[in-house]
Amino acid sequence: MRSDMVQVLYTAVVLGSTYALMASGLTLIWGGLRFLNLAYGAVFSVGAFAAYWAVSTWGLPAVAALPVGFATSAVLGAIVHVGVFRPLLKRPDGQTSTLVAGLGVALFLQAALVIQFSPRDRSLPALVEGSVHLPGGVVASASAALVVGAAVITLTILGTFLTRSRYGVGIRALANHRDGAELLGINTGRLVLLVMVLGSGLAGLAGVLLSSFYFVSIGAGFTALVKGLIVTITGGLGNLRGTLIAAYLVGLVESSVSLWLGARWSLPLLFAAVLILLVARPQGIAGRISFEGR
Amino acid sequence: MNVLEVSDLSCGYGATEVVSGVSFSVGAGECLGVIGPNGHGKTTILRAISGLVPPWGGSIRLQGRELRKCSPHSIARFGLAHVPQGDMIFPDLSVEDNLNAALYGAGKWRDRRRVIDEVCGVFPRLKERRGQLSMTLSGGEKRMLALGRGLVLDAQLLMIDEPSLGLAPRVIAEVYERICHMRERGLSMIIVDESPARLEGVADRLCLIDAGRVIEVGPTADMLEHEKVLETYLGFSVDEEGTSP
Repeated sequence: MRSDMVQVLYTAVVLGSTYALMASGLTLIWGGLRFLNLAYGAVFSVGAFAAYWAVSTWGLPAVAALPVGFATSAVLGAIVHVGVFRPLLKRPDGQTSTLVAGLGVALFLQAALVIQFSPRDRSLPALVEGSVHLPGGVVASASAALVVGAAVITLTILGTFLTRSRYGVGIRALANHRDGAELLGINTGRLVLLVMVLGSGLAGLAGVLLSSFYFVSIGAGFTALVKGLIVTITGGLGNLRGTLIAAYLVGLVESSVSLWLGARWSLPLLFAAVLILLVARPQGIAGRISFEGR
Repeated sequence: MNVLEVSDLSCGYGATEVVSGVSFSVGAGECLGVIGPNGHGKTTILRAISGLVPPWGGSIRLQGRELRKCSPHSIARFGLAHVPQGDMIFPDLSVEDNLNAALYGAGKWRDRRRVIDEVCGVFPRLKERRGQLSMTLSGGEKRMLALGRGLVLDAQLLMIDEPSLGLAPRVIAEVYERICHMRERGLSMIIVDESPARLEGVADRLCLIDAGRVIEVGPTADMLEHEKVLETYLGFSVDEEGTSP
């Protein structure tokens, strides 16, 4: 195989895994609650910064950053849900209010991070060291392999949780018809909180994994939100399988365009491709147009 | 002791009162048919009992327990199953997962294989469609699934809202046959139907609702002979309609 092809595929797989991780929590929250959480990116950054702070202050081993990032973002997600989203979702205009409130929460958290840590980028110690030589002379870093492995494991666990566990069945029932789920004895309020906690925790986990690969930066959260949204919408909002396919497709488009046309064309052409796809198939790759009774 | 006691219930939507001063009861093992014209509060009464519509006043007691301020999921767990109008099934879930969702709600997740097999015994069609997405079911099959979920809850009282709505006559007969099968298990029931004739042989008593009020409650046979009342409130006589389950 030609070395540029190997390079494209390698970058596509790494970028795709990155985007799959970024989008996993967003997909879970949309799938379970049917609202776009615009605070997602900021929760992602808070997880990464909390992990950086814990590792640099207490001298914890790098791998401890993962549970710290997950737990901090999960707790933050619960606080934001109980304090901001839950009261708003009870109102008739809940969908619009939560959209605006999510943006407000994101700005607040971003400002708090700047005040606490300054806008300077930080670096987390690499979670794993070393590299692997691929055919065609391409060298894959162990950190990149970790991101790919983490994406596969995270999404497999999430998929299994949603399809096999009783909470997963409850969350999917809630996403389909909240009143219908309540009439079956399902405490939907508690499940909504669980979805927010898990979705936010996944944002924090992705924040740590990707920060060990790139940098811990305030702007990383915004990139995660935008890329997460592109992948989630392209995949079909709330559909895990679609999200996974979309993440790797977006990674492939970006890496091919970057190699053959130059990096400056990757975003414009990516957006063009997403627009064309959504015009042709508004429900995304694996989404469905509408469902009765929502 | 009555399974359900509703006294002086009033409720509505926004500022509009839809149900006012409604009282009735359902005894153990009894089936109460609720009849009345469209848009006169039958569905709202059921929604108020199951907690989907907050009652404005009065009292709703299930096995002596006051339900007025309880959430729908708590009411379901206290032993009230509501098969609502429109079924409210979960279209993205398979038939089996629709039943599983009811098992999770009922706190019987570990027994799911046994309970689902039991429900499939009552609704053989669900067994054939077990792995199929419920959005692909026919109208009659969706109704069976909604009834099956009600059965999974193993409730003290099962409320079925318009089991015949939107179905072909042959399918209606099949749905009522299944309901009779459920009745044989000694389940207390409330069935709302526009047509009193369909409830003949199923309901022990009929409760006639008009303009959000109870007009008459009595044994089914007596009520079906009460043609003047039926003509006044439903605009037809039982003989003219001539449908039977």
